Amino acid sequence: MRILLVEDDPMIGNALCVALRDAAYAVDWVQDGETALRALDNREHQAVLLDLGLPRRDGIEVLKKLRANESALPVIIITARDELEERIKGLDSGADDYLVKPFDIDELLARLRAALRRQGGQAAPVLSNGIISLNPATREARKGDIVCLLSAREFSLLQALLLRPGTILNRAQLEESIYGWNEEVESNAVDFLIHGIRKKLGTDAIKNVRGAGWMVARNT
Amino acid sequence: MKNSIQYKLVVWISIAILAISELASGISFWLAYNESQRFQDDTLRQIALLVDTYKTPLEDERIIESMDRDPKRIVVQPVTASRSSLPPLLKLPAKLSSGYHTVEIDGLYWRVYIYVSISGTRFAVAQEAKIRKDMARESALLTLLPLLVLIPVLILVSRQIIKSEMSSLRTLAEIIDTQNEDRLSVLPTNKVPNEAAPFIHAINRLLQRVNQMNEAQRRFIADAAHELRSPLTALSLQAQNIERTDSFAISKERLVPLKDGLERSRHLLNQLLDLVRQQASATHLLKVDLAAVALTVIQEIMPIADAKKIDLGLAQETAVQIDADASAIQLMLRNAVDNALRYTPAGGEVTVRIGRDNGDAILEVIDNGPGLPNAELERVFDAFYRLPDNTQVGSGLGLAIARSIAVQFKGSVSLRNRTTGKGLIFTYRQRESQSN
Repeated sequence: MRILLVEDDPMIGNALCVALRDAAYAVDWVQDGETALRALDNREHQAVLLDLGLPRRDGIEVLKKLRANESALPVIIITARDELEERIKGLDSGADDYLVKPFDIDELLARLRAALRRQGGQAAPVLSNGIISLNPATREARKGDIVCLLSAREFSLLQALLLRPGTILNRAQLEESIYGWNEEVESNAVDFLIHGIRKKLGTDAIKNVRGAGWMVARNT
Repeated sequence: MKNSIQYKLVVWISIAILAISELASGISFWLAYNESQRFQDDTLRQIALLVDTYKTPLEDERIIESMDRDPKRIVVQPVTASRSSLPPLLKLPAKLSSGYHTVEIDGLYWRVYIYVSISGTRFAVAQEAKIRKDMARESALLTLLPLLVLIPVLILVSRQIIKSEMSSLRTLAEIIDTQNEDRLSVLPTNKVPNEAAPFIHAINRLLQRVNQMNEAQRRFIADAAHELRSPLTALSLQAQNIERTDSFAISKERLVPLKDGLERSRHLLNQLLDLVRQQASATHLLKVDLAAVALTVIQEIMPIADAKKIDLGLAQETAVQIDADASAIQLMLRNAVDNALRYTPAGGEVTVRIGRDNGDAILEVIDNGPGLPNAELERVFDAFYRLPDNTQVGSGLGLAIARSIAVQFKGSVSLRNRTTGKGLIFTYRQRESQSN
């Protein structure tokens, strides 16, 4: 799960990056509105955390531009502006949620999960294809009687697959959901993670389509 | 009540109306009275002419006595009637010339008209004077009636006009009273009497100034709140990042940004306090030697310059003193040097220059950093203003503090780009102390 973080304050940006990576997200961090818009053009993120007071282009402008391009990407505004008008303006400009600084990281993560869940058309907090279920809040995976705890990256990979059951994801797509821009991609990381997940949930948990990639079965 | 314009106006207008109407009615009475008497005199003359024309009654030298014993009666009698058997009704004095006379006869005053006909007969037409006066007074009094009605009406009307004019002022007062202090709106001037307009305009100008001040204060508080939130947000995230990890090594690693966050909060709070203190303090002026101030600040800040490998030095062209508060000037210079060090790249040079120009003492901080776009040179003095591409973590208050100090000592602060090569010059200028 790859997040674009738009935050101009270097201290907050750094701390948020650490926190989001701890929570198994791949994070790309940009510090101004212009760069944010360019990063969003690539459409490689699943959610945006957006500060409002940004250099070059205000957060609201970035948001409006994003929505004008008909992107339904979940956007959570994180800002120190707590006036009612600002919050209304933020939400009406197309934000999915609005969080005022200072906030608790656990709350931000929960809101992020909720936004991503709604994005996938799911109301239930647990991600499932009918066979495997995954709890994003606890990183707990369940298949039949087997219950196990996944590592951060194992979770990211399985989550990427479970978000689109029945769809084959190739190596590059899976890597993209696990790593941020400036993180070094280990060459056989995907194989290693899938091996780990299969070991915990059984070999049939993830299906390998030769020459194409991996998938989990669609809910029937 | 004593200072009420309405009260005073009503009282004085009433007095004026009464006085003028008194005078007017006096004149009117006098004129009407005289006119009435002249008219009565004329009547006597007319009667005399009539009697002369129809001679008969006087030929047998009888007295014409009109209308019985009516008090208003008019008496006609020959004047040369000594030969008559009948005694004359009025004992007229013997030598009366022709024309009008007022004579006393038996204790009563009579108005007498002596008429001499062409034939030489003299006779008198007379009427009792008191009756005539009574009648004249009555008719004169009647002319006063409209005035008497007019006076109370005038007083009432003027009172009403004043009251309604004053009520617009009362409405304005109510508008002011019910205003919300946060957003004072200017008073309407269209319904105000012209005389009060300058006053209302002055109040409106005051209200606008108060509004501007309120607005500036509101913005400052909003900005300050925003600026306080940022380090707090960073701190809480950094603390939680440490809390989440089990590894001691990672905890230690994550402690570094937490310490930076604390330092940032501390710096911001100090700057805020400095600013508030500068704005609130009433200082008494002492002679301040700029060289001593510069040395103190340079010594204090040297470690930071060393750490960034910046050559920090002093260029003193002349000894200059100003009337100020040494610690405030130190604070200003420290902020200026701090900024210079922050934006000057490693290996750069920062110079504190002390000089004199046209009776002014000059304190400058010259760096060879990137300088500033000319459009930003003034705006950076606004509290919390940050350049669009500035990634430095600062409080955004340093220059605002410098300006506030400058204002306090009637000096001025400014920034300008160097004309030779790159770099920025911070200048403080204040009237040099009068040496004695």
